[in-house]
Amino acid sequence: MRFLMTTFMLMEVYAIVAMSLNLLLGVAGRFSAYEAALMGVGAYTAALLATKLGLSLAWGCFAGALMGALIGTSFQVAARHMDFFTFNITSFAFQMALYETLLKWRGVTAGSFGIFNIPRPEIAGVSFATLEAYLAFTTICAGVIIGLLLYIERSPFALALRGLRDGEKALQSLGKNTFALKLKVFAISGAATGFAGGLLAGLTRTIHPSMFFVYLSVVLMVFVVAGGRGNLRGTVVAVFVLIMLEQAITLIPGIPTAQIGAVQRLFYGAVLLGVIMFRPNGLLPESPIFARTKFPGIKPVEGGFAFLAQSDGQRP
Amino acid sequence: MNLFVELLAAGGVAGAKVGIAALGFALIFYTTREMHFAFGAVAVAAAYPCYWVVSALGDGPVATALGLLAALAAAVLLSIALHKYVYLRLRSVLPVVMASLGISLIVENLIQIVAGPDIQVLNYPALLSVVEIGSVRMRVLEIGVFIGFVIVAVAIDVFLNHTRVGQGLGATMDDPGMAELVGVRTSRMRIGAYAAGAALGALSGILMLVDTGLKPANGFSLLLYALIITIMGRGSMRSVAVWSLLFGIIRSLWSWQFSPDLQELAVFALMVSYLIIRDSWDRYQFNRIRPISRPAGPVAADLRA
Repeated sequence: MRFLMTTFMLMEVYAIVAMSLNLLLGVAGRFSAYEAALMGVGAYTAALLATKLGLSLAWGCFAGALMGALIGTSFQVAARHMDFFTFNITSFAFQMALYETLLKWRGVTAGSFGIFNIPRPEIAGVSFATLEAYLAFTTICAGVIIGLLLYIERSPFALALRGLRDGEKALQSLGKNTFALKLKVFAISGAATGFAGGLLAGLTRTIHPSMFFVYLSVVLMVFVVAGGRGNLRGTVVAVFVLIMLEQAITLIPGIPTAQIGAVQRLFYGAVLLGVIMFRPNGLLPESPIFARTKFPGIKPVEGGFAFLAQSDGQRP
Repeated sequence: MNLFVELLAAGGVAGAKVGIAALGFALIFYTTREMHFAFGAVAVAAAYPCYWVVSALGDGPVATALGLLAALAAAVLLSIALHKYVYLRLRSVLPVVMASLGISLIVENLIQIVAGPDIQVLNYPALLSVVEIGSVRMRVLEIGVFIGFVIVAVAIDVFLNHTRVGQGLGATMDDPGMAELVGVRTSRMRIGAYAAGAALGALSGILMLVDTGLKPANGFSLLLYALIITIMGRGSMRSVAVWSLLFGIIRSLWSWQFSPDLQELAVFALMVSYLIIRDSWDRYQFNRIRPISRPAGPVAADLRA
């Protein structure tokens, strides 16, 4: 039962992060490979505030969200002139740099030992220290954030983001400030990711840097790709199904325990390759933005992750 | 001063080790514009056949040659197959990135399931004997790696600039559409670039096998350094070679003055800041208001375009 509850909370945390990545990658068309490190920054902020300053973890989550938004936007400001390839590689290098910071800044993060005994929050006299109570806390928080993200997905703001993905030049010629749009979406997604990191810190009660290695970024990308580009509800479904399958792999008899991790990674790799090759729009594709149009000449844009094809990776 | 020279030598060797892989990746990336994330995993996976062959036949010269051949064949065939049957079907930038990430997970973990996660080393005592040059003590292997890197870099440069096929390859790197128009068979050039790049990757995998030991998880760090150096090189194989040497030297000189613990962090931070500053400076130059009257004759910017 404890295992089920922990897995369910893990699903909720990953669902938040994967949805915010889908808002970035699928809706706005901005690649980023440092989601795992951003989650780590959120988790460390919340955990350090809770253990060193004695602040409630709930406030720690908000501080983590602030840090996530700050780092996301500042990276976007720094990298705004890059072409796709450079941005891609820089975000991988940034993930590694953040990971190394968590690992080597021993005075603050305690290095590879990590932080132990993170207290779970207490709000208005109600303690959330037990696993059941913390499940309620996580579910409420995740429900609110997932609801907000789903609301954003249907809003006119997301329509502008889809325009950013499908034709940045056209959106600029309509008078939209595309750079401000990018900053906003990075702030929203960074804040959600940082908050999820804080929730994760309270869930595991122990955090160490190897939880936030670049492999986690790839797994989050698998969730987005499998769920469907630009369809946040699909991402939730993908997170739940894929994590259930991942846990089911541990139950297969005959696999030695040392190899279970390898089989799970193999499974994620196979899902990523299979979906990209044979179903590029994901398992639950995004519904068309306009179901009907009075201009029959207008054709829908190409599906899948082909939206960068026209830029061709050339320098400006 | 003595320490400085020693660190310089060690840094040059470390840069050469990364540089062999970086030259291979750059050859692939500049020619095909496909971000082949499975490069590191394929390079490491290709070194395993070499290990199996050599440990089955003993470490005589024939067995070593057979092992090398097996590794090169595995890397080249696997890479060309990936190019033809996966990347060419996707026809776009981001799907190729994601598919190759998936392939790298699959290859790495298949190797781990088949061969186990432990470190494998091949011992050649002759390569590990120490030679003293002036005040610097180095192993034979390291001197060999450095010389090998210089030979590969010079050979690629001569090939690109002084042979007919190499000029075709260079044209494919610069402008594939135009190269196609003047009769370069660009698809063959791409396959050739994949073969050569994968061979260089397999060499650096074998180097790990002989030197520090090989494990399946090594592929990603190999790939990451090669990727970053390729992006810093900006379409020129010469600057890739220079950057990889500089990379090793900076990394090793860092431990001279600062904590060697922070080496990796420093390298990543320096690379990220270099890329950020370079592109911002480029955009600044691009946006600057230039005078309308220009001097006669070609300007540097025209030659570059």
